[in-house]
Amino acid sequence: MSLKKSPWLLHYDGSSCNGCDIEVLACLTPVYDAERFGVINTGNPRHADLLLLTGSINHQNEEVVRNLYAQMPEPKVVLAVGICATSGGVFADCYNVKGGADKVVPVDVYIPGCAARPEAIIDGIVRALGVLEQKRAAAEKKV
Amino acid sequence: MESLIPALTYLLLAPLAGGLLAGVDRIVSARMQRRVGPPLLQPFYDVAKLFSKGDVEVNGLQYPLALCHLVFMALAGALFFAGGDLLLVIFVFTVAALFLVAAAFSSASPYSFVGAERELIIILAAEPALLIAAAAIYKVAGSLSFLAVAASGTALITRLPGVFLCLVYVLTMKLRKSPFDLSYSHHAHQEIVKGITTDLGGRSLAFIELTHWYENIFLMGLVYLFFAFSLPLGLAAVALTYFLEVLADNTNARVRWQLALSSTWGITLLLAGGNLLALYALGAK
Amino acid sequence: MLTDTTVAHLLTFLLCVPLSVALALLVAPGVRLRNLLVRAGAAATGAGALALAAAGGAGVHYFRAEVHGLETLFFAAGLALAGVMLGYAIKYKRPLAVALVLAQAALTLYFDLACAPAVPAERAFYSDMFSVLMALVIGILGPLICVYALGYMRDFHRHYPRLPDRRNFFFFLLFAFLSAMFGIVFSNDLGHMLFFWEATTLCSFLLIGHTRTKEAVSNAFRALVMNLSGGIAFSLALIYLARQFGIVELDKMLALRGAALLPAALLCYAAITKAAQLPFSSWLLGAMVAPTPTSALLHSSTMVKAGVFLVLKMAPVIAGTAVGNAVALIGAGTFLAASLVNIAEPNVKKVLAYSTVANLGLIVACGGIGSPAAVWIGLVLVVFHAVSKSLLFLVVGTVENRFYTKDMENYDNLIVKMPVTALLFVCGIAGMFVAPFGVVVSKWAAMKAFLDIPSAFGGVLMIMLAYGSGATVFYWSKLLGKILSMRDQADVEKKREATIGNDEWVAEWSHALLSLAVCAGLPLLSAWLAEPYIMLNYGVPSGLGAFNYGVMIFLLLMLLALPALAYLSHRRGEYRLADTYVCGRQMDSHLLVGGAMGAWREITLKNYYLDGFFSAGAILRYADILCGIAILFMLAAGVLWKA
Repeated sequence: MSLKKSPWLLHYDGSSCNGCDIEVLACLTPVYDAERFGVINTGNPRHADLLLLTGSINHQNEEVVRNLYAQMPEPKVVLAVGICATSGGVFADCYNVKGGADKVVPVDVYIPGCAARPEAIIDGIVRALGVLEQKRAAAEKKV
Repeated sequence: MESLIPALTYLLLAPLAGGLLAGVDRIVSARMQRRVGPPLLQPFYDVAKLFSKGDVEVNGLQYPLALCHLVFMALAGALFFAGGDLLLVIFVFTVAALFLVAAAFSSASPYSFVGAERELIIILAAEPALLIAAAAIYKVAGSLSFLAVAASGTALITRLPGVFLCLVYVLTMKLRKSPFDLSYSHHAHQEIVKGITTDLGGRSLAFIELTHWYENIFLMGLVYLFFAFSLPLGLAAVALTYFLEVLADNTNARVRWQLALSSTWGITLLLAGGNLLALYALGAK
Repeated sequence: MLTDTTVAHLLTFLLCVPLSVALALLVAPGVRLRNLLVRAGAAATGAGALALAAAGGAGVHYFRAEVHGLETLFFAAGLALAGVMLGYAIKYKRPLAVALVLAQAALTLYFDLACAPAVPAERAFYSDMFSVLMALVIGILGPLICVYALGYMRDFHRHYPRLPDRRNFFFFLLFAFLSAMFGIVFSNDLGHMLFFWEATTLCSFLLIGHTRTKEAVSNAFRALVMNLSGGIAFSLALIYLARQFGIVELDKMLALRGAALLPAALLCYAAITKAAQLPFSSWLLGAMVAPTPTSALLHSSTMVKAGVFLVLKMAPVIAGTAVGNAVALIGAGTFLAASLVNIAEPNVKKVLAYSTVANLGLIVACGGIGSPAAVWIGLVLVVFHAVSKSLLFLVVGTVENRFYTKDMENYDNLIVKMPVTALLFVCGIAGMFVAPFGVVVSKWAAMKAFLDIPSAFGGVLMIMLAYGSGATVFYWSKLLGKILSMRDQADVEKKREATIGNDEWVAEWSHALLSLAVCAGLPLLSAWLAEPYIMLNYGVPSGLGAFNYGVMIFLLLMLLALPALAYLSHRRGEYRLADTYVCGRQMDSHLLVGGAMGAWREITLKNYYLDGFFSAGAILRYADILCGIAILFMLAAGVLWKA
């Protein structure tokens, strides 16, 4: 239950145009105030439960995303914010782009949009919390 | 034996009080920033969540050292409230801080390393002030025991205004508030990521959070001591001091360590050292 | 309780046996015989010290010298000492040293021929609780260090094959030095004490210059010159006592109290040079070029303790006077300056040396204040500091012989490369600044003692102590962090600790266990030796009180048990090892990070030295001047002050 109440997120910009990043940061500003839900933007994978990815995956950042995902403790969820993280967006066929975030890490919530709106991002986070709880329950049942 | 009761009360209730204090801190900060802020019990949710996370570590030393950090900080506070010698309490407090520094040093992350070095600078800056404050309290009240000084009804604040101001200045460092949150901060991003706690996660981080709560209650106890002659005044002073710290946190940018060190040592010498020497001039015991 | 005769026999044993071993070592052929002599001599000395403590610990005993011709022997030996020093000074063309040796010799001759015959010492030797305390330190730590030196010097000469192997002479000096130290603490006749004092100066000179490199010779002469100036002051004090008061014995001098202020000031001057207080600290720093056993034995646990021993002995005379206050200021100033400067010091042996100077400053300050509480603190601090600092030097020596570096920056990953050594290192460092170990407990008690002084002077000392304490935490934590930093966890394959010999292990483990024992045993040590000494000389009780002892022991148990338990239980627990966070980049075990454009770059992590604030040049310059003025003031006060 407590996981749902205290989602700490790590925000990583793969190769985004920064549009979605600005919207993610906007969620923390007074207008949207994601901290109402206990959301804290930690810059550190070891402290984070949610991994927010913006921008598509390319050859340079796929290793980084894998490392960040590996350094996060379980249970964790990944959110692909924006259409570039979802599927590569309009850049999907480019020679340097490998695709969306699900090419390297298992994604739990997709938040399309270009740029994704703060309301959508917060909605996505709330859904991700549900997934997080499911994962924790599943892990506990295994043990 | 009477001193055991305050110690046990501290050990059991300080996490609750500290967590509530942290929650109030976040709400007040949020309101200052024209936000709503998290629920009051958010810090407890945070710590509970951290305990439920899996352990991901960099080496085998960090978890034990973080646990020792927690236990020794709790011990220091318990010793303080049990009426132990304040100078010894400060030394035990330093030992507790040391465990965290050692945990941070053991990791190869540059952020962790720089955070540890900065934490040492904070300890370097704050230690003389704490020791001189204890010395001044001893000179005025004739005792270094929290219980004895509180019971005696001595108005420390009227004899030691300089020491108190210096202590509040140093408190900003110990509470990890801007402008002195050099090694670790609750704010979003550090220029050194999460500083001293960069490579600590899961339960280790939960220990650090709990330690902060114990530490904050101990430090508030120290503030209270100056007003211990009157319970309502003391509580009001604690509340006001904490509010001022939060205000300073929200209105100041972080300073460079050189300024933190030199300003703290200078203020310590002038305000705390000056106050202590003035006691002799004005005929204390 | 065994009789006076037993104590007398043991005193003779402790004075003569190390010297005999030394002389035997000088002529012993072959390595096996040398090793045997060293080990046997060490065991004998240790046994003798323990026996003395058991037999005579709680009492005060005075003895006549019943040996005929003893005075002639001392006279001849004193001339020989001077001759050796003069010879070296001439050989290496040091006019200042020549002048000082000649001046010292002239004064001693004058005393021996003109003054001494008129004032024969009735009771030349004695043993009281403080002597027994010092004898335990000298007699237990000294032999352990000599045994350690067997292993250390073997590795040392293997690494420096070009250096001439004069190990027999080296061990001769170590054992002769032990005899001289026992002589200092058991001599009631100040003339004899001067002889032993100068003997330690000579041993120190020869040991510092042992490798005969240009730097070693230069530093050896610096030590010689400074200690000779102390010896000259000692001689002047002797002459004054003989001519003005007609006495030559320590107990009679102490009975004079404030009337003997000038000789006490002169003896304090000698003690200050021996204990390397400012402005004389440079000789101790320079002495770090000597092989590490020298640093452990002379320059941390014993010889420099002779200096603080003398100051503490002088406490009844100088307490509450301008001389005492000047001495306290010199001690506190040294503590502060040396601690601050240590922040910016990257050489590990020099860090240990500055820390030694600082802690000696604290003891000197306590001696200068001279209150019963302060002197009690001085006594226990002697023990605590000697044990922990000696341990640190031994460990540093072992590491130095394997990694050939004295730079702190090369000490990282030690917990992986040499885990047991690293743990012993941590034990030593903890002993220096972690509560509840003795040095911190003494510092705590010293703060209270300073605050109990009615004048503002106590407040000034307290402020100096507060700033020095902050600095102390910083530089030790830095070193501690370096040792515990795990950089390359794969380095454990290279088994460097296998090359450490039994001699070194025995010495280091004994030291570590001793440091724990003296901490846990502080109530016993205090009740057995320290408190009776204070009661004898001041008639008041001392010590920390039962509650504080209880807290100390509780903290010690927590400190020992908790990290170990937490570590062991966690090791068996479940946790996932992951990479260090470097912004998501890959970092391999050699600290190479995959950077931009596919380039691999190495991360280097260096400690802060805060050079802008704490560099040695400016701070020591001012501190030297201030302490120099304090010394002049001390001597002037000795002449002018009327108690």
